Amino acid sequence: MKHVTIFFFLVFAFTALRGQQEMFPPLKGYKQISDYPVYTPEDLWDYINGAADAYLALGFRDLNINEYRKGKQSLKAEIYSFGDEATAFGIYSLERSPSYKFINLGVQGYSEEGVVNFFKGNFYVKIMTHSGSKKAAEAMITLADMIAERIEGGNEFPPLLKLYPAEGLIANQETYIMEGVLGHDFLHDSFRASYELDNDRFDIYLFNSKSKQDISDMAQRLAGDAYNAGEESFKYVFDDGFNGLLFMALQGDRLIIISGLDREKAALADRYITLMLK
Amino acid sequence: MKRRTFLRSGLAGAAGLATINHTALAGDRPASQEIIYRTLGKTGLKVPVVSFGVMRSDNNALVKAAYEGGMRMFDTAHGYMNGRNEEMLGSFFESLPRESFILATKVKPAGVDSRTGLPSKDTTAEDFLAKFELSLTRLKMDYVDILYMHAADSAEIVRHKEITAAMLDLKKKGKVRFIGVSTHKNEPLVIGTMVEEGIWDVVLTAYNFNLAHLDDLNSALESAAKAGLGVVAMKTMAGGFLDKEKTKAVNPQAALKWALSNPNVHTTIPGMTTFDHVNADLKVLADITLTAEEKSGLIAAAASGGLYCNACQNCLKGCPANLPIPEMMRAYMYAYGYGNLAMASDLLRETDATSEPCTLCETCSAECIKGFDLRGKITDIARLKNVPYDLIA
Repeated sequence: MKHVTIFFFLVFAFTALRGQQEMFPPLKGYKQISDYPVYTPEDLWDYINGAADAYLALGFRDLNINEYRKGKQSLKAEIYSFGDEATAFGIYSLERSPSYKFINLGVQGYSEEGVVNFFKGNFYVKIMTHSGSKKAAEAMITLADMIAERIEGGNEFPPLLKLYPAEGLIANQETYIMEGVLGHDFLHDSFRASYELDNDRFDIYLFNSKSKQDISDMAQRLAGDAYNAGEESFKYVFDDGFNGLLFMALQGDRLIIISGLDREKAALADRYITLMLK
Repeated sequence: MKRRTFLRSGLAGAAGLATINHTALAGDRPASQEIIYRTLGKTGLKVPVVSFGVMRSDNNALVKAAYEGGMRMFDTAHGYMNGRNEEMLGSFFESLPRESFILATKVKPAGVDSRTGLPSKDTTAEDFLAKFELSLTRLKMDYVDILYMHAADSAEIVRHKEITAAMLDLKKKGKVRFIGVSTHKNEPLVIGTMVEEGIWDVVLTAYNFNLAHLDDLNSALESAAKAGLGVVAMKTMAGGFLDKEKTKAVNPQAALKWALSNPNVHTTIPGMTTFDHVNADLKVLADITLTAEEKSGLIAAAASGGLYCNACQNCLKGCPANLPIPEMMRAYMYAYGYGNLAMASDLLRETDATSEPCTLCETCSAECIKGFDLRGKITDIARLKNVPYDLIA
């Protein structure tokens, strides 16, 4: 049995995380330093302190770091790995602001003073420098490009995001939440997009189903006795207490919740839900 | 509302509403006269014994639930969620009376070595102050109640002349009411240095039932409290779970009560990401009595197995072979916790342990305060030394 276990782990280890150091390219003119420890969920707090909790909540796996030095200039590249593309997108989107200067890097990236961040595949990459020079800024972009080339994964956002209607969508505010969606411990794995339409500001949660049963279980917990799994398209509106009014709809393995709209806006909620359940 | 669009409506109190509703949560809140307060050292601030560590929450409904439930102190940091955390709090508190809450934030000095905690030439007041001003902007506030130097690990950074002068100057200008240091490594050293320096008002420190160096830390907290420092405890849940699989949960209320059973701890800042968390923590606001059952449960939890070695090195003195036990426990965790044999093997290759390191001992005399089966785990993971590296790398 132990031989089988070791063999399994051999196969797993061969396919996963092979040569993490290979993700860091040499950078011309810079001395590359790779003797940083690899941080894991056990000790990520030691590196990024309380910020680690948000990473851990999204299933953070490990962090590899390299530094690049040229004279007094230093760039540091951090590569955070997660379990899948949705969670890598989740941590990237949690830290981005719609006001950032977005650039074509990996799936998406941004460049702000002293920082270039992007995500691709299961990875979230952060490159930073204290140097304010233009050359350092250019070097960060060059390094980011090279790392993006080496990282496995496609250049598309998670597919479910395409289901969000474009009308009123606030750009670059979509995110992914793995645990405690809307503050409920039984709601998990959901995208969230924010909308502004005339004077209405609302959020739409689209759950990333692991299975139909899982979706049904979540709907059951939320709707209680009112829930009817037999209905082709189940829709329910209720006051959730601190979250206020919630519009919930379920069809097959698709669960959608809208928060932020008043009861008079049921037609608006229904319009978006109908579009997303198509 | 059109019936044909929404088939069910729970607005009129329809049966089957399974969620936490406003009434239920309100029923669990302590009455204001029941809330237990402690004074945060010489700051004179009276704080409820449970405060809110906001760091991983981006849901202001949770902050609202905590605030309306009686919590008054809210803790964030410049670096949490790359600033989005401070922005969320800024939006939430914008419409509330400023004196109705206590806001603490943290700024990490630049250029501090993450491994040694030592400052460098990049550790400047200019960088620190720029970050702080950005924090104030995000928070939409003219001042914060507490500003911490974030994550101090060394005496050198606690004594850093430029940074401490900048923080004292912020206090003088009224942008900060009190200054402090946050730490979750080398805490007794950091706290001892703060006491010696005499300029600090508050310390935010890791403090939970599962720490290996509790005696030293308790002594340090006693000195801190005698010196008038306000003491805020964080990481009270010891990670929340004792295993990576998250099957062995820590009792959150017991963990908070344990921390508060030390009278030198003035408040705690547990993280809360669900209404259940908020609800559980609100109850502790009015009841901090740690029952015998809760206490024994925590002790049992601390002694149980799991994968995470504390690296306390308590085991080393009992091993006649002088094995690098913490490193081998870590390698075990890499292999079985994360399925990462390459990392496990890399770590083992850095040691001089053989593939059968325990054969010379009939029984194991090394002791693990967490109750790990050291011999079993070492024997298991050391076999990896027999596996050719190119098969697993």
